[in-house]
Amino acid sequence: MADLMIKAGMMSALYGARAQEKRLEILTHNLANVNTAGYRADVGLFETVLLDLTQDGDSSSEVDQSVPVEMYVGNSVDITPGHLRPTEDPLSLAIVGEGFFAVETPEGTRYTRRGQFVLDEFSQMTTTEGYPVLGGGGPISLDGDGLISVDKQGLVALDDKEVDTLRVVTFPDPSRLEKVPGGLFRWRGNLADVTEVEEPKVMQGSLEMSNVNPIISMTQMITAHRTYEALLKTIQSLSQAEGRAASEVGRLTG
Amino acid sequence: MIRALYTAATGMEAQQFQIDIISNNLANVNTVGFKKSQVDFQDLLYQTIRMPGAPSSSSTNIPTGIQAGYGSRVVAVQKIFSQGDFSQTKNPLDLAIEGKGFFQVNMPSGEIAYTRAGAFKMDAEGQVVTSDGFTLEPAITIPAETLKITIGTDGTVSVTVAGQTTSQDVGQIELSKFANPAGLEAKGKNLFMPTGASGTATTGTAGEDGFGTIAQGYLELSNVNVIDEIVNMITSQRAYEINSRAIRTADEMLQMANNLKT
Repeated sequence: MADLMIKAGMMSALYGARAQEKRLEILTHNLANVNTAGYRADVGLFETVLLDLTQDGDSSSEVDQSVPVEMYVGNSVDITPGHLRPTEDPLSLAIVGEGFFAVETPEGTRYTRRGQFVLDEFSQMTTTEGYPVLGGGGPISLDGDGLISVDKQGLVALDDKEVDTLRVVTFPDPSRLEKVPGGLFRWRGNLADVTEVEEPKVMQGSLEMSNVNPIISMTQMITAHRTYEALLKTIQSLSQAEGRAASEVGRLTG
Repeated sequence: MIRALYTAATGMEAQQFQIDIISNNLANVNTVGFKKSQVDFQDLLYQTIRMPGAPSSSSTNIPTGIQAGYGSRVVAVQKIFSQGDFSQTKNPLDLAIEGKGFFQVNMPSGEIAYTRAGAFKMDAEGQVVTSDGFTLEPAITIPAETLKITIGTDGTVSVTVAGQTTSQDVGQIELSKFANPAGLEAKGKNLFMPTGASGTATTGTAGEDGFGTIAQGYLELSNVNVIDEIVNMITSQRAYEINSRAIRTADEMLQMANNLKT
């Protein structure tokens, strides 16, 4: 019985420590992107699950041999908006509130909140990696001279000539957005569910920065660090107790 | 945790690169015609262990995926071609472009380079050259004994020679423009070369559509804004610090795990 308690404590501490390691991994990725425009923080999802300690084939025991442990089950994306940074660039666009820009990559349409765009050699509006930004009529070409203006609704104009309206789309279930490198998201659902935002708010000359909150992330990092420390100490004491049980309790005196 | 170490290291590298670029911008805060650079970061590689929205049975989907990110990286260094302020010099061969155009300069290699730095001089033969002695394209020669040089907003160069009452035209300065100036390659000495990303140069006359006009007796100053750069430097330094703390945390946790077996 004491043996089972030690084992249960060990498992609980071990899984707990592993969960803290996972937390740290997620936090470091977020902190590495604290200055990345349009970055959306990863949120680790942890659940308490019952771990069955019964040995395989041993169902004779009538004692409940399960122990609750913390386990990493996946991650979701924090979709709260990041702060806006003013730039002098007419091709820096930020979406205030709901929506994503649509860009065309060789692998298909991807979505992003990262509004740092440039003109390529064909005067097409692209991301810094060269993927065309999509408007209602496909890629947006800004051929010709003049002032590029983008109004609140995403209407792109060259001087007074209207060119196209940026696609600003939204998804019924953001948890089905899969991150792909470059601040892009891939929609893992039905394409028909991708809808245009009715009244988008696009801001020209601003860039949405990372939504990683360094203060909260640092606090979480300290918590993970100290919890890990406590759990490892627990493992150490349990292992000493186990050793003592084996070496002292069973000894015959005399 | 080993991964956390490397992830935080990518963050430090990216911020260090940003500091390098900021230093270069600040070093050129007084360089005529200098255009500042801006670093663009991206998140690095995701390992998708389980897709979000993958079916867990015929009628249900797993709502969350398992994805592991590996930090951040520098994806582009972009030149920002915003207009710099003008400074009046009254020097007849100091030219500033108000608009998107570039001066064309003949390189010793025979190629044509492009510049916004309009601090031109005269060489021994009277040719208009840059501070490094590269001639303008098309070349313009100022006759000897010239008293006065006048350059119009369209780039027409006219001179008044001693002993004559009327001025005479000696040439016209042409300008070039690019579809995507941010794609130009900086060659140092304030010169830019076209690349596949910038598109080819379109040559025209100053004052025409989109080339901009020439202002004589003015220089275009650097477009670096010191306050912006300092603010970027502060955020960069703090991000660097935060990532180094993450490395230390990962290291300490690793050490604790090692100390389990005493």
